[in-house]
Amino acid sequence: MNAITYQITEKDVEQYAVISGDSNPIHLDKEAAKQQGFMNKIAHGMLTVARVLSVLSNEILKPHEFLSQYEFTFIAPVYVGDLVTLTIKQAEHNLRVEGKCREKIVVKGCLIVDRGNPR
Amino acid sequence: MKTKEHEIIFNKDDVQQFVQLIGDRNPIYQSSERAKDYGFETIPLPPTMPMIAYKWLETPWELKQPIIHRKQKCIQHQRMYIEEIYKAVVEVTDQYQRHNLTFMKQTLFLFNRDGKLCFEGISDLTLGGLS
Repeated sequence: MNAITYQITEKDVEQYAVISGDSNPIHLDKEAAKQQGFMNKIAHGMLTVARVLSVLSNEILKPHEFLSQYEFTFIAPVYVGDLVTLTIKQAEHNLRVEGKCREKIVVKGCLIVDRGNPR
Repeated sequence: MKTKEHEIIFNKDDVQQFVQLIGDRNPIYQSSERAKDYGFETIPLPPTMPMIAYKWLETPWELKQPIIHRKQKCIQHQRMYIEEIYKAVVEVTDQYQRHNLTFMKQTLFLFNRDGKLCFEGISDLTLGGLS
């Protein structure tokens, strides 16, 4: 079991909004986020997933290995500036990850690794 | 509800901008030569990248605030590469109302030029409504 921590910065969220075209104000405007019941601007769900997968790519997988399937449940918001601590469990072709912020689970995921040759 | 088909091409700059943002240091994304060193035809797409296809798509429906992304499942049936033409379709299914909220699944499908399904991105959303 591995544990890795990364931070979601304001710049990450702003750049992801540009790259993805998702400019929902809850990601970019604190007041708009508060109006929807959040404490602060929140990270895009897919930014959280992309950061988790990049941690797996950097720390666990070999360059040719590939995540052919993944499923994530967003349990609580990841706020701009949050430190996310990931716990990763491996079992053959499956990975399970759990992300916590401030001791609270924010995201859970399970992934399937294709370890075969590229096609 | 379903969109029309849209043609999409991801290019090298899109991939490099994407991996720089998410911090993925896998060398296969850096150049075609490095990708070939690991047995790929050219630079493959990072596994979450197909979801940015939404920025090039127009859906005839509008999601109303608050939009909450509850779950995300993605299946990559075929590896996807830069400079390939893909056809994108988005479909809304499993839509129902509870209290004042709308629950639905919104799925992005990406097909290659031969019509083979390459990617499915299934998003479970809760929203204020759909128009």
